[in-house]
Amino acid sequence: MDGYLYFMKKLLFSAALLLLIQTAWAQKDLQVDENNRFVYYEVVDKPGVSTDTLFQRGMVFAKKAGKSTAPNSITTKGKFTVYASSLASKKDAGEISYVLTIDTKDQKYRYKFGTFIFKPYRFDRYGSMSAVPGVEIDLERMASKYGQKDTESYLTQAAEYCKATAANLKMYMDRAQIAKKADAPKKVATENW
Amino acid sequence: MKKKLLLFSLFAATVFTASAQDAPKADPPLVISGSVDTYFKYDFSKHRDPSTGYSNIGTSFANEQNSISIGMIDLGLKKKVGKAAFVGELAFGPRGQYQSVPNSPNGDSFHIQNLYVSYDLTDKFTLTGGYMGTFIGYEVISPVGNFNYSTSYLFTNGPFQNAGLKGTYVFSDKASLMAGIFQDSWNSYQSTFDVSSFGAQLFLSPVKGWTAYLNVITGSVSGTEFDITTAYQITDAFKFGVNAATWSAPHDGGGFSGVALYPQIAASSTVSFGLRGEYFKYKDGGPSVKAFTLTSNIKAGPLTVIPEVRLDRWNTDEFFKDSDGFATKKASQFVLAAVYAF
Repeated sequence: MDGYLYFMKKLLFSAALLLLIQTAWAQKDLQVDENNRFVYYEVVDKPGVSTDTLFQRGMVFAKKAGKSTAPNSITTKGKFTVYASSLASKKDAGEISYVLTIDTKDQKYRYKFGTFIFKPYRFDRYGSMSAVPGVEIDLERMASKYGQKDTESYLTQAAEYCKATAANLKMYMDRAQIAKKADAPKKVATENW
Repeated sequence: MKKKLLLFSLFAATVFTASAQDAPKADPPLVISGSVDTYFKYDFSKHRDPSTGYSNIGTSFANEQNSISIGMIDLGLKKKVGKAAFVGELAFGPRGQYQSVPNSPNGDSFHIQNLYVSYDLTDKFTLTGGYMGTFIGYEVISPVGNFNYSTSYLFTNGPFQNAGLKGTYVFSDKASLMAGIFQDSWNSYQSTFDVSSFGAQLFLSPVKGWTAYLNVITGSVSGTEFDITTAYQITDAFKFGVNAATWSAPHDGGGFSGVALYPQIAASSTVSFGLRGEYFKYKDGGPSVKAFTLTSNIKAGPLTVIPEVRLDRWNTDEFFKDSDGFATKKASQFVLAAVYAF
């Protein structure tokens, strides 16, 4: 009985520890840096992996995203659409552009999403939603223009996008196997049995 | 026992890792958007055409004298799956029907503002074909897209829709080029003879906040229009827009030219003021008009209330009537509109 209880305690502790680690990996919110700018930032340890190796892996990821720069530091840009709830569906509310920086050191790397800029959309002459020309708002100033509720929604969507992109980046940095296409169904001969 | 514990931990770690890596890129959702608008208009001369109920300043919309009238219910659908997308926009009401879209040969309205499909051949090049709102001009049909509620003479006399096939190449966020072939007739669901008009648009954004569109559409049935539309968001509060255009009818049949200026200032996050000053002239010695429109946009979430006063002055008295019914060169009006965008 004592052995059983000991085993269950260890099992629950392991599960709780793993859950905590997973939650720490999956940051839900944006953070604020020393300059009071929104960022999504993490330092990742990679024991046994050199700076050059991490840099090369980061370059593979950045090339896929379209940009690359200086030794041991990669800067790339991107953007994503954010949505607002409309009467009957989600509606394109705007797009948020960002700068992603990947720095590599011996046995570790860090990434930082920052310089978030929001471009609002409006209904255009072609019946579609498109960016309002000339209007760009730093994410830090959004609350003053769009109200708390909309701002929180956009910040949440930004954090979710960064989380998903960071997970993709980690796959490249881990050199984890990218999901292959599903294998074709196995053929069987049914005539001879 | 320890082995079982270790196996469970590894299994759980794999599950959690797999869930963090699973971030499939979803297609954007079906978007339903649009607007409704209604307004009151009052011509200070009190002139009212006995047959139409219209007042003096007869631009595209908002023409009725001393009347609470309706604009339209505008409904847009958009969906993109992979590289293919469609847009369908329907409109119901005077602004969305006989005032802005053509009727079928038997007089029925199809209610269609936009109906087209597009395909991204590459990340930078898109093909689009169908019935589309025109790329010409500063103002648009939807009240959501304009600061002023009444429309300019340049807008009224230019195209509203151009059906055709166009290709758009995006060089960068600072430049793009569109070129295409369009129906020989403007504002028509079918061609008069063929699809023989050529249209092009060069988009430039030389500096942050400044956009410029250089447009041309030319054809043997609808003539040739050159158009420049530009706007500069000089500060967060101040924006300045300009629209200039010239149109020549085919076979030396006349034309028009004009220029409109659009300075706008945001007094707060919810209240803005804008002035439209326009000079419009018919060619070959035709009449000309100067129009000044002062408009405010007062926003309450998705609702925008638009009070507006306008003064037009022609160089001829053939278009307006004064309060006694006599011909006059000038007219003025007040409009109060409400536009709800969703």
